[in-house]
Amino acid sequence: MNLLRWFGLAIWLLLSGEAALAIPFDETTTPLRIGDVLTVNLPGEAALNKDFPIDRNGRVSLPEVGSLSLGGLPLPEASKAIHDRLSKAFRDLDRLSVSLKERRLLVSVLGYVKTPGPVEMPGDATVQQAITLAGGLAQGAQLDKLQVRHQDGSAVVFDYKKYLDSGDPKDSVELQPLDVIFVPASPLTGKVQIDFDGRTLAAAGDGGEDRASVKVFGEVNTPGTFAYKPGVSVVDVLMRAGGVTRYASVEQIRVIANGKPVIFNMQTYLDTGDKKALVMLEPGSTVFVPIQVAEVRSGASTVYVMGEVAKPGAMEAKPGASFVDILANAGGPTRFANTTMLRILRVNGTIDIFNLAKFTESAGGKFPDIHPGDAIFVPEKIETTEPSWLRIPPARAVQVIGALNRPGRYEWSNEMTLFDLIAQAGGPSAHADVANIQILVSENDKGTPTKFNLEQFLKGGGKMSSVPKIKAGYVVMVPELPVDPNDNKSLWVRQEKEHSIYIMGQVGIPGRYGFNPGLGFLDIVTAANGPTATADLRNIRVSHRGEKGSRVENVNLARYFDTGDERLLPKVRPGDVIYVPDKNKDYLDQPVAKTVRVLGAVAKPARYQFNDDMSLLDLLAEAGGPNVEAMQDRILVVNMGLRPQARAFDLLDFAKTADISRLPDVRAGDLVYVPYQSQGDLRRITDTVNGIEPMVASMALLKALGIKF
Amino acid sequence: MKIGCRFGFALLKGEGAFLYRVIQSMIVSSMFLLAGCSNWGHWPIEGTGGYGELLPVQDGRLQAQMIAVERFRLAGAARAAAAHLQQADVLVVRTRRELLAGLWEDSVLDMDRIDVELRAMGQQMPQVRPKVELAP
Repeated sequence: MNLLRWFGLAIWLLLSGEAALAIPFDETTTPLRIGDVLTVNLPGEAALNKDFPIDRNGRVSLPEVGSLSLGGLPLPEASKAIHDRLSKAFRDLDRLSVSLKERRLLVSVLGYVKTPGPVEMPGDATVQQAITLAGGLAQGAQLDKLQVRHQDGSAVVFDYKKYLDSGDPKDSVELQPLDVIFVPASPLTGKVQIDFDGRTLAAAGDGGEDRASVKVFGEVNTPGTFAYKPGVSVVDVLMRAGGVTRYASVEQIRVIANGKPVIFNMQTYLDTGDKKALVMLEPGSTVFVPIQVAEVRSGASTVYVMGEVAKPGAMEAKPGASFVDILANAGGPTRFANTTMLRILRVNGTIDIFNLAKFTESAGGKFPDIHPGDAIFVPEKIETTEPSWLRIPPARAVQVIGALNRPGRYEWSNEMTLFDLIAQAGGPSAHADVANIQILVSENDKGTPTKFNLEQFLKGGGKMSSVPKIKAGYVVMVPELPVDPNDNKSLWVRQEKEHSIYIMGQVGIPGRYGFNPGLGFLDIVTAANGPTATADLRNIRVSHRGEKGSRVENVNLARYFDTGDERLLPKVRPGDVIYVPDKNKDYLDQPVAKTVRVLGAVAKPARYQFNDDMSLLDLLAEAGGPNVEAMQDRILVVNMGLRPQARAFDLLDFAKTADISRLPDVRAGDLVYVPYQSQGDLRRITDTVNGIEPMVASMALLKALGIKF
Repeated sequence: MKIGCRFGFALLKGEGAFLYRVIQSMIVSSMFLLAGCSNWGHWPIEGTGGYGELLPVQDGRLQAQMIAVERFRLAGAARAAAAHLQQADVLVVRTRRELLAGLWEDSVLDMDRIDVELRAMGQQMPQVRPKVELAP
């Protein structure tokens, strides 16, 4: 039976929860407090069998008997008070029981938390739990000055950050019911409500308004106020401030500790590692990192470098620093600097001129002395102030000549390209032959010509590495194209024959023309003002030069105009010769194979050009037709083929019958002969008879006269 | 008149042999004349073929070539191979005339030239056709 009791007790303990086990106080003596929850049990009274919390006034509200003040009473006394009060309305309270179910803690969390207001927690809850239930700390909360105000009016300020660092409950405050936890705002947040970035806030330092904080400002990346910790050094604080900037004068860092100024030379410390050179900070120390220029200005050994240098400014001229040292520390002259006219402004007001270019080229001489207070001025190159073209020595200049808008000598830098040079020279002129840019590469006292086809590169593109590399001393020549065809006469000498083409004969302006492989046959014919009215378009001849052996191509430009077939146009190259013959040329120039000879009784017997589209009728018409003595019914055609043959044509009969089957074939090379009527059969007989009559008469007369024969 | 009669009579009576000889010589001269005329009157036969392109074609090879030319023309040779097509047309006309004119040897050579043009069109057409967007 006892065993069952112990088992039942264990089950009850488990079911009653951790709260019952966690209550670490003596119920008989510990007074009840606000937030405690009592359980009243009276069998048979459902209205009483439930939990009754003690409210903020320390009272418990019971059914039918009203509220009852129980705060501050131990549990036995509270139980008796409840019994007495209930006895006024209930009877048979022998079985009444009152127990403490759990302890609760009611506090308020205000200030820089995300959800300020009352929170209810277990009885042993801490400040951290209260803050967590209030949504956590808001950005900008001042952690080292949290306040806990008790109900009796007393307040405790404690360093919550210290508690977070250590975890020691002693560093926190034990909460009591109805305490108010107030989280103040950091002074860094200012007096205006804004949303800010926590990183920015942290970068400004974590010291707040604490007088023990260390203030760091000047040439550091994140100036601010940082919390002081014992044993912190200047270097530690500078690291928290993001380090020094590039302009910081690390030799002259100023530290005020305990009200005494100290100069900290971080350069020396970093060079030597000597801990004696390290300055340790005290609470409330101030660290100022001055700007380097300001330091140089304040020094007694300042030299100023101005004008066209990479880093102009004030320099500290240490003993032994020469003119070149100072100029090199300033980054040296820029490409825009006029290095022939460096000016040194002395302290005494005098001005010295120094020609650095000449000094470097002659590799001799002496640099000017520089004293503290002197100023070196490097002037800019200005076109209008150039004293002489001699200012740029040949070893640093590129000569650009020819058809450019601004040919001349240009100072050269190897990072530039040919395109930079042409652009600087104003670009090619309207008549520049950019397809034949000539570059004279001069190295080791030897000039080697190269060529570059800029036109082709611009049209077709290509690797930039294929563009000739220009160096100082080179000569770039852009040839000039003829302005108009008349220039062929005046500029032909300057025009290279390798880049010329010749056109002669029946064209508007025959001559030698500039030509490049990008042009074609029609380009050159058109440039010569085209064929004249008497040009024989069917027999244009092109002599292709520059090939092995000789080759003459016959071009039928008339057929091209008929068909538009581009393949009829010849491929011409520089050096070729185009001859456009005259239609009325000498008969020796007319090829026999392309003509028909018309002879006999026609108006204009001659050789006539003939093609296979024509017929005998066309030929007779071209020859003016048969004349009055022509034997029109016996026109003869001789075909000069592989097997020559002669055929007759009766023009009269053809004109009457229109029988095309009786028209003989005529081809180029054949012969047409129109006989005279005197060559006809009847005429010849008549002539013969007419010749016999006088002969007979003569013979009779001689016989009559007695002459014997 | 009297004199004339006497003279004529004399020719016949007194010198009968003289008239005979005259008549004889005229007959001989006429024979010579006719014989000469027969040689002078040997003119060539009448020609043909001057407009052969308007008359029917009898040669089988040339007919096949003409069909091939027309096929190229339908395939767009007028744009893709205009020069070769025109030259083929000219050679066809020339050959048709030669065939009708009896110039057989020359017509064979010209038909060989037509084959050259046909081959050139055959090579050029596939290269040019996609570029000129010819009708199918």
